Amino acid sequence: MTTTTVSDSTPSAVQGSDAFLEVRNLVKEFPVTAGAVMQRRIGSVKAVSDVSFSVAKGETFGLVGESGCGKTTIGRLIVGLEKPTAGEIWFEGRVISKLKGAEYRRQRRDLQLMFQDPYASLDPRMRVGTIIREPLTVQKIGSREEQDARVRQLLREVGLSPKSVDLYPHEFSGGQRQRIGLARALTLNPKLIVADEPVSALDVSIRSQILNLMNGLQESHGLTYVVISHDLSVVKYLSDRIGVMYLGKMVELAPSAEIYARPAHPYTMGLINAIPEPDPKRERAKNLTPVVGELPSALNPPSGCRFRTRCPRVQDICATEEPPLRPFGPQHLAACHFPLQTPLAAA
Amino acid sequence: MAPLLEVTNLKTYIRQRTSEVKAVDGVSFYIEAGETLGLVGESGCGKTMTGMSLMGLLPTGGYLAAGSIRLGDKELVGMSDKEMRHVRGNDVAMIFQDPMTSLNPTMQVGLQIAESVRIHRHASKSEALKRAEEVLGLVGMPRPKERLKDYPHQLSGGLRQRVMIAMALSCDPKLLIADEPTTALDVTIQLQILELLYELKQRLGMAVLLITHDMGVIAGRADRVNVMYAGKIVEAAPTIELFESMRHPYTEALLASIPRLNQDSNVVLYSIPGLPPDLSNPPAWCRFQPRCRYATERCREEEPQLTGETAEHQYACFNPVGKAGAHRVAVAS
Repeated sequence: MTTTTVSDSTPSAVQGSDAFLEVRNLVKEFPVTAGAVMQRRIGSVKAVSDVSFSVAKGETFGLVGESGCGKTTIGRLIVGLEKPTAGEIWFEGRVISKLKGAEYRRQRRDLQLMFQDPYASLDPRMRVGTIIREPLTVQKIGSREEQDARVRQLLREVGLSPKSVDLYPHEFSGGQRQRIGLARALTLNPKLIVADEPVSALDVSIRSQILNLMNGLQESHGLTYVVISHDLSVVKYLSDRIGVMYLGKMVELAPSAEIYARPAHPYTMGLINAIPEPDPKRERAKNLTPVVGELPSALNPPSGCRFRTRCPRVQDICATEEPPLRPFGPQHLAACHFPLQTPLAAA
Repeated sequence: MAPLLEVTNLKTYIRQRTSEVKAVDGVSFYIEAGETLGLVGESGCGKTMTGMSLMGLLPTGGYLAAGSIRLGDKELVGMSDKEMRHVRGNDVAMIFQDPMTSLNPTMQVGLQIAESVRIHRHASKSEALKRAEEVLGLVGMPRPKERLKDYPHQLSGGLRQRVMIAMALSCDPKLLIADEPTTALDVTIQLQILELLYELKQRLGMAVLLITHDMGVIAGRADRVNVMYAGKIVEAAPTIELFESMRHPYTEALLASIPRLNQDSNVVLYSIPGLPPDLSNPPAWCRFQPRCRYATERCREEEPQLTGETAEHQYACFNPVGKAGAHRVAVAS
């Protein structure tokens, strides 16, 4: 039995954590206010609702799901851009989600974010050299010369010419800008990088450049990745294990090959079916039951199982009882009363 | 019988301050009534501009430099604005990628659909609203009568796209141009919309020009495919044949660079080096040559024309892939 499986299903604020990164009973809610003069709170968006998972050192963990599932919020929580409403984030055995001040700033070096939109995430008024150097400046690391040398080295590592330091972002293509974003994420020599939609904004034939680069850098730098995307093909390609999210909940967790070969949750199956594959015969042979309906409101998610309003297997119990995550195989968990696979017998 | 749409040597150029971009540079294709033609390529290849040219919706500085667009028995090139306004909606309609930016945020959706009917059919407001309710039902909108008064921001992405499809269908066009109709949508909603388009196409006997960068969408929904690169069509074939016996190196490279769900994740994906050419100054030789792993001397001197063993499968390449004596289909898959 691995530490990973235990941590995934047994919440406890008192236990330590031997995982490299552990997200434990994480909750994030965003208040929604209304009122022209006096703002009163009318509710909250339940972006992340009691999510737990761990990531091993050197692994790539993928978070996949559609709009409003909470994956981007989890990414931001991991790197410290948001504070949890409840629950903790553990890194190398310490709780990092409650750090403040100088300790918080120091911790930020280890967990970096690679942003989604290469067109919006680089300051158009800063030269590329300055952009990549900025984390070093903020963290007050190295002399100017040392910083410049580091920037040139990083540019080379991501396959860009060191002459790029004097150019502005608009002088680069989308794929090149994404490389700049990756270089910036590497500046502080992080241990873990959260990549939020690393290739979605790029043309299809450019995506593979970035995917290959990410894999290569992982090896050379001993990096751990958390990859966040709505694109299951990209996530499956990069990840060792995948977590499928729906409306703030983790509905299935499994190794990548397993998620595709033996999905247990009807939503995972729906997601897999919905992905158009570049294979005409397979596409036309697909017997599809599209996931019907629209995403419910995150202000007022459905009771019991949040997926029940769109699920082809729904029964009465789904509205009254929230299904717990149960094991279906080694490192394979899913939360469903009527899963597509047979759960492992209770120990 | 002549095809519903026949485009011959279309050239759409865009005049800019110091240069002229040859966005569509000599493109020819046809669509039969009731069929779905896929137009696939990446950003800047000219596929959207091709669709816009058919609708007469060119950007500032854009003009049709050459060519003919024959829709039914009408020649669209050279038509006056007034004549084009009659063609739009009634003969050809278009749906766009992002419904949030394509719908008027300050107008109720019912009125937006009705506007289309009033302009293209000279109907009264009440007749138009009745038709709006009818088409909203046709596109699977739950409780269409109530939705007429909604504003776009009150609807989800999928519902907004249904509104746009309703608008496009309100005047019974024979040809629907769908430009990246599902790219901005969640994948489960994407499937709903693609199924809807397929159903409507069957029911109404419409032809569809499906413009997309997504080879998966093309594989599942197009009868025939045209692959575009740098303003030109580089390969044209029936869908299954394109995927199974592609000839153009760009088509091959594109397919080899896509991660597949059913493929081993340890495979290194192919990536096409370099960038597409600057279309304000395109080369007089093969436009894919600098990025092509099979390029030879000839490719840097002459521009290959579309050719093929059959009329149905054409490609523009001197060293096509997969033919005996030419090249082995290399790479991961």
